[in-house]
Amino acid sequence: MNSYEAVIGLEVHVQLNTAAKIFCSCSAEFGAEANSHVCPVCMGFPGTLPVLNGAAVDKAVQVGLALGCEIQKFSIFDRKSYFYPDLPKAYQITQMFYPICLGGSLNIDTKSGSRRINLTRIHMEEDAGKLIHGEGESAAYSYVDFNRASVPLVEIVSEPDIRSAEEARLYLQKLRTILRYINVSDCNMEEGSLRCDANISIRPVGEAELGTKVEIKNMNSFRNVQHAIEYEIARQTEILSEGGHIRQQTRLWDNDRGITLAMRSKENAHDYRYFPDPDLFPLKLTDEKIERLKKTIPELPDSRKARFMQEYSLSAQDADLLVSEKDYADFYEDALKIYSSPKNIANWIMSELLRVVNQKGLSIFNAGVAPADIAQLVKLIESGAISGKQGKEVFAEAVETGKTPEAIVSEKGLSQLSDKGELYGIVQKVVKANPSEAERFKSGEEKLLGFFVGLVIKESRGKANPKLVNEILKETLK
Amino acid sequence: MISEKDIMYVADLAKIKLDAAEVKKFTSDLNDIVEYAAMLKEVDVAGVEPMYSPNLDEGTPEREDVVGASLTQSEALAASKYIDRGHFRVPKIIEGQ
Amino acid sequence: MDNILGLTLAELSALLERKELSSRELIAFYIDRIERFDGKLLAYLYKDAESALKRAEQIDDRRAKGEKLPRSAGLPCALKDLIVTSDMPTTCASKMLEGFISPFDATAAKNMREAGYISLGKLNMDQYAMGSSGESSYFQKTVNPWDYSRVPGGSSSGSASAVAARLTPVAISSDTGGSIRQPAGFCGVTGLKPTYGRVSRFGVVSYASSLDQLGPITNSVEDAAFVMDVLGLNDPMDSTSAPSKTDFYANLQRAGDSLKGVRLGLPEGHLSDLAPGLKAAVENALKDCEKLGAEIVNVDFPLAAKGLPVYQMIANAEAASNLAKYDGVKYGHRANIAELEEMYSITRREGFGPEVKKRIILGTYILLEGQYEEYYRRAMRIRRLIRKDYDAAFKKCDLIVGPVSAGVAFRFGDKTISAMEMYLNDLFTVLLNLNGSCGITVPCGFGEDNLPVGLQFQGDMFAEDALLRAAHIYQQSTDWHKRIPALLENGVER
Repeated sequence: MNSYEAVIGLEVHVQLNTAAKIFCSCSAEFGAEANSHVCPVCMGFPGTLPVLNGAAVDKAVQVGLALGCEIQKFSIFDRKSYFYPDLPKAYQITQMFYPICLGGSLNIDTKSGSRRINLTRIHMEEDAGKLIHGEGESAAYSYVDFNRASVPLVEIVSEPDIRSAEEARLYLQKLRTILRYINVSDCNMEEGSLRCDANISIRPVGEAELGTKVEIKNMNSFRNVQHAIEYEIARQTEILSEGGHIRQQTRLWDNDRGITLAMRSKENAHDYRYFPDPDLFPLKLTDEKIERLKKTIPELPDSRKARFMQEYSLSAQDADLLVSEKDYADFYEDALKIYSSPKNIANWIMSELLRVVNQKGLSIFNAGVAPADIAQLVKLIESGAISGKQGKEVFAEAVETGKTPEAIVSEKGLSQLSDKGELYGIVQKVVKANPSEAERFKSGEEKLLGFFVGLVIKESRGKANPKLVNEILKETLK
Repeated sequence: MISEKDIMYVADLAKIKLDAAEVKKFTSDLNDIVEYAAMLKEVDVAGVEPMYSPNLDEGTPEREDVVGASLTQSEALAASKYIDRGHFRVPKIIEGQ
Repeated sequence: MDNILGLTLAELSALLERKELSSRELIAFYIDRIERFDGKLLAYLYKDAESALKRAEQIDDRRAKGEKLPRSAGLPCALKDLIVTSDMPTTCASKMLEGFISPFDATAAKNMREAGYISLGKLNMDQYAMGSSGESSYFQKTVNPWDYSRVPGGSSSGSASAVAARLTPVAISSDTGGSIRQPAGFCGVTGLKPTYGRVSRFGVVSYASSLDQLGPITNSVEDAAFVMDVLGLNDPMDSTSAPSKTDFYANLQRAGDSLKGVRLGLPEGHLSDLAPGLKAAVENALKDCEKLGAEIVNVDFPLAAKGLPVYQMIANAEAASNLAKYDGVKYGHRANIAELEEMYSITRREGFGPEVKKRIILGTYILLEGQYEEYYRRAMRIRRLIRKDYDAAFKKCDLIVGPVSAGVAFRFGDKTISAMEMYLNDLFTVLLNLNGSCGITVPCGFGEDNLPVGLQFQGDMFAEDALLRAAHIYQQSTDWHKRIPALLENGVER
């Protein structure tokens, strides 16, 4: 039997997080009452004309810059024509012939090492409205809401460089991380602000020629993308292994059944009749503008990860987690500015803070503790002022109340007893009160050390620094 | 030559139902026009950029990213008789199979 | 009161300002004329006498209180029925938009109202502005006031007819391939197509986006300039809108009365194949221009013959796309059918007239993936060559001059037979739309069957001042624009 390799290209639609829509001034916000973020322009009323939102242009350029694309100083908006009830003008304004960005790439970290996935292009376009399909007594109808119509999108088209379902997921996740770094989109697949279509073909290993490609749509989570592509690769492999032929078509991922299904053939055949939108002049970008936008691009995850590993001696795994969101990495470095303990602060953020962040679904900066608080907490532990165990209590309290660790420690009297003189007094008292155990210890029964430590800590109402107590006991009972 | 089949294909794309007589008439009309337009092929356009708009040298103006007034839901729906619970109602669309 | 008809907008404005005439009287005067004569002319698709009178009274009241009003406050106007308004239906003379009321006002309508103009109603036109005779209106056929058996021209049929019959002193119309200039010629009135981008297209139902331009039809060049001061404002809602210009009228006041130093370019061949009577009128007009000091020079448009097919490719492709939005979902006509594809295709079959359907089919064909390069894109490239011809011509002359049509207004039904014949009416006008610059038709006499003849001046991009100046100086030396057709009232000539 032949073994096959998959050839996958992804087309990713990203909603840009502008305040207003791309060609009118309606709010682009998600989740409003149906048909309330609409105006004559985005509903395609007679006589209306598009006017481009400059912020959408800026964000599209930022995407291109972050992905290493060649920014095009001249691009053109085209009309893509087809009839569908969610498309108010019966054409979508997009960029077919002269897109705003060409080329570019991003790196993914696979088990077998880093892989570079090249991009073909990035273009700007407007979103369509939303369709709801009626059920029950409304089953004969579909319902249209134009709130989403004309929300700005960029479509990021990859080269067919992806070789597996897992790589596809990694690519998408990396893309999401970068886009969130530059704050152009919240990239929420469930809400549809990040959407992915996949072009998949397979070919015998070693074959240079591409197989017939199938387009998969309707995958609305990272996990779905991986599952759908796995399914489709298996489906195509089975067909070819049995001597069959792959038909070029568009298939929809059915998440409930875990399979892809061919769309009706009518929707497969389309002539979109692209031509430049005569209502808009070409989009021209100046060098000054591109330079200005370049300055807004922050350090991106790949280089930040490398720096974290080198500068802070973090493991690749830890660095990965910390740079996976710009906020995490910013929080981490803000804390380091206050108290430089890279390893311990990283651990506190990764184990304690991110648990809270994930539980509460909050952003790291709104989880109740500030970078300064984590810095302070680690400092308190490292100086021996409180124990690690106490640190966890203090952290929980800080998250709950928003108080600083120092305030909590002093309020609760949590500070460890580390005064050698005072500890010596308590040890003396405990030893005197238990003379026979002291004798047994001296004669070699060393397991009694724990017994004495416990008593000393109890006597100090839990405040005694266990490490010091140990030292003093050993000295006293020599 | 544009065939009647071409006209039916185009009418389907343009979503206009034509009867047989119209298909016939439009086929003949379009052939006239396209034959007439054949003279355009005589013009040497090598190296000439298309002039999509009279003021092509302009770059398209950009609007500020400020949210303005929208229609209310009832205003948005006012020009259609086919509305239901805040939405435009259309015949059911069957996606997939 | 009847001397009102002889007055310019500026003169009427002065009477209003001096309170020698009230806006109510002026509006009532025009409403009376509409009531008497429009029953036969059929220029208006919608009239709202009550609202117009109410607005006039409001303006009179404000004036009585000593409020400072814009100079055009209280003057009447009317709008071609493709300029959307929220206070009247906008139908584009189509079944598709029958009874449609826009949720917003077109910028041109808004600017006119804010300047104090009072709209008498909406004017008939060829359906979706597609036609040269007015005959494709879904509702009615407007007649030519000079001869009721003749077309007024198109697509601004109602506009030209109403202005010629003095049922409004000014009509705001649109010109995509001659739709202002040709009917102005047929009806003996003045019609200005400004430079592309000069007047906002926001709220103007699109025919062909890269060709459409609004402009006024009036009884004189002076009135056109007067109205342009209001129409020529930049509009942030139209990406193709030019910077504001509001000094058309002031500049015209300094026009003088001599065309000395003005070179008028006569395109090669523009005087051949004309109807003899029309040709004589145009030739006389050219002689008049020379007498006024102008120099007539020959200019050449080697690609003129290609202009019409280039225009057809571009206009129909853009139209097919612009008219796709009429799908029955959001507004307008909808066939009540339970299957989506059928709903679309029956809605559009029923909502569009035959001419509109034909142009959509043609435009869709041109934009097919396999045809796009050969037809649409090639046409756009030849368009640039035509622009080069214009640039070359404007090195030899200041303005281009010539006829606006090959014959006078034709009889109803005369030219509905062949597809090509109708398009030939656009021959003298479409090149200017392709170039995008400005042009004006002024009446220059009478030709066959004593029907009006128009003289067309064409100017360079944004050269309205020079264009209006020459047309005005010529017009002031004639009285063609003061001739008023005899109108039928209840079948009686008045």
